[in-house]
Amino acid sequence: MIDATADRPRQGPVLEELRTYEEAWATPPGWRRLSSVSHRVVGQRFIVTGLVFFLIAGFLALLVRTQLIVPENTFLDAETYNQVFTMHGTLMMFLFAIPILEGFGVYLLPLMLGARDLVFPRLGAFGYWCYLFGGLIVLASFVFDAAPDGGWFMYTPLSTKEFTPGLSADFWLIGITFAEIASVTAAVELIAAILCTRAPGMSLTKMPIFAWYMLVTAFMITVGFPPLIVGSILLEVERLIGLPFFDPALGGDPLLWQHLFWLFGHPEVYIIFLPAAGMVATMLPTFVGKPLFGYGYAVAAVVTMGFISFGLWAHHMFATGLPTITLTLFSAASTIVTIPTGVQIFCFILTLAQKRPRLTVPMHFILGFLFIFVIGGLTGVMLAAVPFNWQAHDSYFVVAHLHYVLIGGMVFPLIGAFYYWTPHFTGRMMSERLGKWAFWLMFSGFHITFFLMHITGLRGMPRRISTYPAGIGWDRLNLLSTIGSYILAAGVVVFVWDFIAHRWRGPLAPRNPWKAGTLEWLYPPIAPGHNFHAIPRVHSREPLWDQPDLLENEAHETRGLLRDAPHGRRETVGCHPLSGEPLQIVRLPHPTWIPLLTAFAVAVSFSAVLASLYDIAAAGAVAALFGFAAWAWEPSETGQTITTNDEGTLPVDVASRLGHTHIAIIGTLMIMVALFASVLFAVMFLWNVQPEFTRLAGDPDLFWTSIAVACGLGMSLVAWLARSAPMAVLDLAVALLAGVAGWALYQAVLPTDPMATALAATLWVMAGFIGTQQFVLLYWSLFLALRKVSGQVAAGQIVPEINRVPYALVTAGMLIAAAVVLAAPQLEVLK
Amino acid sequence: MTDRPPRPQTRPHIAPGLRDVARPVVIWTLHFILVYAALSAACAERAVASYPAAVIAVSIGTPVALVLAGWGLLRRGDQPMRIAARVTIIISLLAILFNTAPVLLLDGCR
Repeated sequence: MIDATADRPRQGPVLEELRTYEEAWATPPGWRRLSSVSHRVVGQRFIVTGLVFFLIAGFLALLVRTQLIVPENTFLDAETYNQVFTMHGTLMMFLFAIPILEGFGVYLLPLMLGARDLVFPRLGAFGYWCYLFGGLIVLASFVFDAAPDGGWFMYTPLSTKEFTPGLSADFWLIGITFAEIASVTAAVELIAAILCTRAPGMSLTKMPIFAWYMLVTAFMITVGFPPLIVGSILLEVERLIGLPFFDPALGGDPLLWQHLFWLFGHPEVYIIFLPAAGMVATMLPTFVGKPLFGYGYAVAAVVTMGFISFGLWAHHMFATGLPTITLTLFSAASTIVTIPTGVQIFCFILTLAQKRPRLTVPMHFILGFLFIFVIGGLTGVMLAAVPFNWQAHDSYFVVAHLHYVLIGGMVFPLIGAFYYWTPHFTGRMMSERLGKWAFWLMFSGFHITFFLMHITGLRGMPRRISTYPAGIGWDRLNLLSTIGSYILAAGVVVFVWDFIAHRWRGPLAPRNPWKAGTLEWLYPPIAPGHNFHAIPRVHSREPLWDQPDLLENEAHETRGLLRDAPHGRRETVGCHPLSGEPLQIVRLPHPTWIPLLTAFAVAVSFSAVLASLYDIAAAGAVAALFGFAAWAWEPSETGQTITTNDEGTLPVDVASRLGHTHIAIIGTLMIMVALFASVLFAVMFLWNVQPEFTRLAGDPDLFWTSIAVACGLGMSLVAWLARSAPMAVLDLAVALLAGVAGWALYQAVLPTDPMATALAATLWVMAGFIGTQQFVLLYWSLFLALRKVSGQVAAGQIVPEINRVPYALVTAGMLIAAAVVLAAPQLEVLK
Repeated sequence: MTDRPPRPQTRPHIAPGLRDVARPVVIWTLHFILVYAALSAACAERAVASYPAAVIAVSIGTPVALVLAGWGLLRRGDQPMRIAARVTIIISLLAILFNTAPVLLLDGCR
């Protein structure tokens, strides 16, 4: 509620008559704010931290451009130059683009969907701390004079110990892998939140379009990030203990890294683009005053992009000697992805065609996005053609293309989103005048910088060179590009100044300042901690346009679910994933230090590996396990009910496959399957391209393999039985079988020497991965047994048992797949 | 006010449309994997399969994929999910044909 006399935005309204309820949702004051797990706090942490990384990375870009301003410049030496452009790309791609967009998703989605918080607030907080600590590890490389210098893609063999002997690549591999935990945890959290906590009546077809974009993005992250995680682990293991994954002399292949990296790297471009396009699809109808044209077309386009974008990875590898027919396959896929992209762009253009838009600052950035991104898309089609790609490969033409796509497709919508949603964060409006200055400086500076790079590239200037000779046609183009980069940076400075200064200079934001139709503007900025005192029933995709009663009354007087259930617990409404009808009450955690402490323990573990202090690394891992146990120890509340008034009585934390924890487990299993598939891809790839190394390292033991499979199947069966008859003894049986299966798998691969060949090393990694899965089941089952023995569980509280079944089944499936892989070479001989 | 919550529909009316949105792109994914696997089997050092065998596998897999992905294209309706399904099917059919084109148009791995 805005207190006009004080001229300061206030969060509220805080209802004095419901003191216990309001206090339950309040953010802890002072330093205890660090214990907050609210999506609003965590989302803002992601956004602000991402913005800081953006500014650091942007500063590094200016150093690069300054070095290239004149030929034969000595501003940076070659080694420093390599570090600067590597860190620029790394920070932008890993620590800015994805986290900041996820931050917006974390902040906005519950507000748009009609939820009081995300369903796993502690997971979100844990993910943020992992992101922060991982980012600090990467940045710390500057302090230790060991900044990575192998490019943001860390290609092998350059990044192997032989050619990069220091710690620089280790900083990159460990820091980035750690930070990626944030991305995958946020993905699982967003999937569960979007599918399970929507307002009553909000079926999938009445969901705000931004939620569709974020849902597809989250699924893409669950599948897209695991290949890089696996690749990073393989490379770090090779660097630490010498397993020869990428050593051709021992049956490895440097191209394996490229495959794994780009299996992540290409979808990542879409993972960056889609949320930003979702922001555009949300903001554009507001300024046009009409709903998005072609909602169904946009949904189809987003879903198809989410799939087809995974079929393009090798178009980054056109110059690596792949068979021509394979190149053609990837060229075809790269071409076809333009169709769903074009469908989306036409949805935006036709929305614009419905009515003259209000030319606000966010609208300027939307128009800038359309103009720039379409040009980037067109040069993308050019690069999809193999002959042109060979001509332009690794030239500044590619640099121009990727910046048109990423700055046009992500940064411009993002800045527009800042202007659009900042009133929600701070209760004040950013400046229209400064915003337009920022836009025009950025827009003109961008084109001066990057449009000219197309020409520079076509004139033959390669990427990543620290300087160039004079008089070969690159001088003036580089000079102008550098001047353009300064103009672009000036635009960013104006935006940042406005973002900071509006907190005391900006006018107070009125209720629904942009006259938007989506639910996040129901309350006057700044919305109260619980987002919705009552969660209203929704009848359309633009409830604030189509249900006038929502804005006619004070927001806290809105009728809806949970209005008459104010008490000292945090909770929100859980829904059916498809229909959106209320299904349950989801109990949510209060502020806690556990996510921070657990993430810190993991950070200690990762950092200790970097410093080769393995005892400390193990201690950190054990501490993290205790942290997770403390996290999950709370008593189950399944079986309780809450009277919600309008929608009757709803059960708390329902034990069902439609429940939020089960959906989260499915999302987690997608990550696990993608990790396993990535390892399997590595095995199959090396087996296929280096056939002479297949059996040089010894054969796995098939007896122990069959024992592992039998135990895995038995473990699944007992886990399934435990769902119907939850008893501690069955939990112990699952734990025992999981342990034996893991031990048997270890015995199975023991006869092979992982140091002898790359294929044997990948078999060990495969066994290690499944062993980890078995350990999770063992730990989980012992934990459940302990809870039962200590009287923490009442009859009917079987949510963990329901969730354990798919985990056990998928692990057993991995064991069977591993058995086939281990047995195949020996069966081939029998044939 | 009721004593019990409205029982969620076990098969909400949007479920068939949603299935039709997901199915074509899943089929495209499987088809892409088939083509990539066939080419990898035929064109890598191990030469698990001959090139003609790869062409045959793709030639058999493609019509099957086209039928499975295209199923439901002519279903009527102007609900958002139905429109989305129709567009997804059309894009997926085109994408399957694009996957197949190199195998049918080019002669051999190189």
